[in-house]
Amino acid sequence: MALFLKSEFIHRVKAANQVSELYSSLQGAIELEHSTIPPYLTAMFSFKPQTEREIWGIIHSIVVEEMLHMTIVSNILNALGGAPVINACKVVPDYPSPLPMNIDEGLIVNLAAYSATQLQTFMSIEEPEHPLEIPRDLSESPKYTIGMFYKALQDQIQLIAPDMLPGDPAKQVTSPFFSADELFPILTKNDALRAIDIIVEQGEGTSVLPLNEDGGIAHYYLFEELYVGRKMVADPSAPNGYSYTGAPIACNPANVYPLRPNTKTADYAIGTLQRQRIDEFNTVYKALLNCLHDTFNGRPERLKDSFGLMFDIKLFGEKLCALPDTINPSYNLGPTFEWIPD
Amino acid sequence: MSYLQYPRLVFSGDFLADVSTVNNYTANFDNDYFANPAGQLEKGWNPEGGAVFNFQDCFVQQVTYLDGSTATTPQADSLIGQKIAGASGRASGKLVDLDPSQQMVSQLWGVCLRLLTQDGVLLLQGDIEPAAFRDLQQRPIPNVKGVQQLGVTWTSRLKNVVWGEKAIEYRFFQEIRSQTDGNYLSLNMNVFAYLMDSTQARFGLGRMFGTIGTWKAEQPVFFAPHRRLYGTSNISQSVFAISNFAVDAQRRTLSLDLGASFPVKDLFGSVDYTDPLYLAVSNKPLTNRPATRKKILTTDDFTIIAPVNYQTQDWLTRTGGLVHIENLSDSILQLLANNQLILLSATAEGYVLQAREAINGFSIRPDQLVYRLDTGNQASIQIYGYQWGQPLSNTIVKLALPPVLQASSSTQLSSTNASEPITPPGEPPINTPTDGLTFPKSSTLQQGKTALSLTGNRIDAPRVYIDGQIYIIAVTGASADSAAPDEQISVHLRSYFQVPAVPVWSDIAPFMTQYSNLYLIMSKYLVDLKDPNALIARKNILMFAFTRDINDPTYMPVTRDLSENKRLTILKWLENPIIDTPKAKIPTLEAPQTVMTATKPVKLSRKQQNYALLTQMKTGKRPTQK
Repeated sequence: MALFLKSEFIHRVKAANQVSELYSSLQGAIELEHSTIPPYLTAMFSFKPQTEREIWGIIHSIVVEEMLHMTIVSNILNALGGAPVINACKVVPDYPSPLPMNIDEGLIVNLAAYSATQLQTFMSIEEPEHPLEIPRDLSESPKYTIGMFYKALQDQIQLIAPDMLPGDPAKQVTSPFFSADELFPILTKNDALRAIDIIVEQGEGTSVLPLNEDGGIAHYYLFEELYVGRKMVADPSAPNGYSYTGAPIACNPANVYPLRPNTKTADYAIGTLQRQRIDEFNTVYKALLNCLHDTFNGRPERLKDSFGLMFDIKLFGEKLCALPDTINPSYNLGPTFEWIPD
Repeated sequence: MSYLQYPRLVFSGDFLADVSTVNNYTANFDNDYFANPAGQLEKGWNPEGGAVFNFQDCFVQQVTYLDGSTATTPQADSLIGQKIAGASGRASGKLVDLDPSQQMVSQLWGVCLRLLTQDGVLLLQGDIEPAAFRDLQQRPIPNVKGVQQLGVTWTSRLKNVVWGEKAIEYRFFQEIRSQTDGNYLSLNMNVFAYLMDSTQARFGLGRMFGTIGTWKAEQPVFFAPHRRLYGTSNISQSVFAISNFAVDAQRRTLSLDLGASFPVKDLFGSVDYTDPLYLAVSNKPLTNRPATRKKILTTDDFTIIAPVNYQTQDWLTRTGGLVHIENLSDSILQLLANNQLILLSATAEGYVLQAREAINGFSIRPDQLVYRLDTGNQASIQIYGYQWGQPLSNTIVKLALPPVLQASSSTQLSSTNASEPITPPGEPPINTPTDGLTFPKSSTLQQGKTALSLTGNRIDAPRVYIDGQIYIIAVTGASADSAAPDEQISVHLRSYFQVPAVPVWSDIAPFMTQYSNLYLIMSKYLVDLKDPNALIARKNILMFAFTRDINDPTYMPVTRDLSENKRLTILKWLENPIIDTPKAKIPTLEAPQTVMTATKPVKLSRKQQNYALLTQMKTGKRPTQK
């Protein structure tokens, strides 16, 4: 099962006659990029502290790029004169949930511990239009993938946007934590087109290689490495020049906390330690979304405040995962990633 | 003007404090002891604490307007029931100790306070200036395991105050905004019932009664410039130990804060008292010390002002313990102008003196209680003094460094043989060398205020394995009062340190290893600070954290105990990380262990001579011992 978008989202992009008609599609893309992060983080947090660092590091690198993508799309939306919305209930999926713009009967994403099943979900999220067959058969009918959606956005921007984009350059967000090749102010149409290439390549690879232009392995193939349990290496005997025949990447299941899938605040009574820790986690998560909202709405200097919150998310998330579940003693709590109203 | 005057707002609820506890033990600062598998390390009740402080389920309970009238229900003022919360969109604030040898002045850093409507609309926001605990007093909760027995008060100022667009719709905000100076408000938070037992639901939570009021220029920032009431009752229960109050002769009001001292019986602050209580003026000077024996007063001894109407269980939660008395008569006001306020309980035996005002109505207090100094740093100590609530002039205050303290236990070399049990290094003495600080020994209050300069001089690791030294300066003035808490200033003077031209790992390894040991949360969840390669891998984020403003909640180190030069050395190393081969290990030597007094010359043991020689070799200076 791959992640296919509702066709209306592609059509809406293609029907746009002016840049303002792309705002809702770009907002959808922000929500989509964001929605991948909680499931990936949940898998990371499910590792017991200081275990499975290699796998942890691989997923972490993907999360960082998803954050980059969210930033890039926000920059594009700002460049076109729109205003990203980050701190709203609608931005936060109620897992288990299809991802934003996904067809209703499509992929349902859970917040769950690291497992082969979760890896399959992650691969589906990142699946390219035509996945390269790297000794593994995964043929799906090509519908509208995330990559196709971005390609449509790119085409439409090419078609209807002015060379100098109308947004306020002061709203563009850059960061010393990303290279200027990856994250740059989007001021011109060419900047926007180039930025979309980065998103698609990091997620899916180029159309002929599982690598992006910088030689990094695209997300889909990184997850597939974990799924297969071996590193992808250059292999002249393989059809696309690569095979999963490198060093093994084994995960010891004993290092994974058994998280209660899709842990919800409402299941835990006020006054219990479990509820207490969940509330703390959701408070930090909301603070992070508030911070990012400010950052992408005219206060780019606030990006620095988000770093401390990202640390806190990790801290509170991992502490939550170490806490036994009172409802089902065979589980631990999982990070909730809920939007709690003030 | 202060939180004790009007207009003001009372809120109550919980606070979360996820403090770390490995650094509560001086021995854990000794890296060799920490690494020794034979060591019996104590790590406290929350070794993985992250220092987070935040408000939780805090709600506005009542507002008192400029005219002294009070609203207590949402029907009377829709501000009642609105929420007090911490920062939005940035990391929550931090609560940190000054030092393992001075844990009684824990400060809030980077804490933001917001007042929101139930729909989350911002009405008011401000940053709490870093305030230290003051007025520690016993606040036992009967029959609860693992609860902190002390209550404390943070008094501070909200700065960078921002008013929400909707604030104008509230009478209270219109009034307080017109009365306060600048972008400031005063804030008082009485906290207690902090639960340290990780098996209980309220682990890490405590209870808070808060008050927001006006702030005026020329006033202290960290306490309310008014009068003080001290407990004299049964010392084993130690109730009503320290309370602030203000008399406003013009408005004919008396405002007393019992929120820090009223006996409570549970974690939520339900009142634990049954005798009728009265406020009165003493007709004669009282000097009673806190004593077990009850002091019974006769009706000739005092003039009753009013009863304290605390009778409902949730009185403290609803009022914050603020007692508000209006329409004081001329005669009461005259008496209060130069006589002690007293708190009486009416019992079968008669009127029992529970608390009395300071002797002669004196209150002389330093404003800022905590200083962090490096070699050559200067600071200004602000001291304020009042008598019967009026600013004092021509009154001398004295500053003194009490004799060297806390050389309590003998120390031994850390054993490197795992089979031998080892004794933890002893508690290093503080307040030595005495020439570490320079400050005037006295000064004279004028118009209620004086400022004294404080300079940090070079010291060379007098505590060996803990950076710098703790100095506790006693502040005294006017008359002594055995019921009053000690007024002290705590200084962490950091050891002299020079930034190496080209720092290598061994230059920073000692203190990075120490942070790794003491803050398990960092090593476990983020980066092992004692592993140079791990630091290099996270270089960018570490450089970010080590270059934050000290008021930023993400500042590293969270304890804010690193000297500027050590911080710069870390940054310089991160920019050009050179990992040198570890040097031959120098055996850990004890800190100077002798019980040192100002008069007795100290005979050094062989180990101490070694320590002195080593110090001299490394620094060119013998350790000072007096």
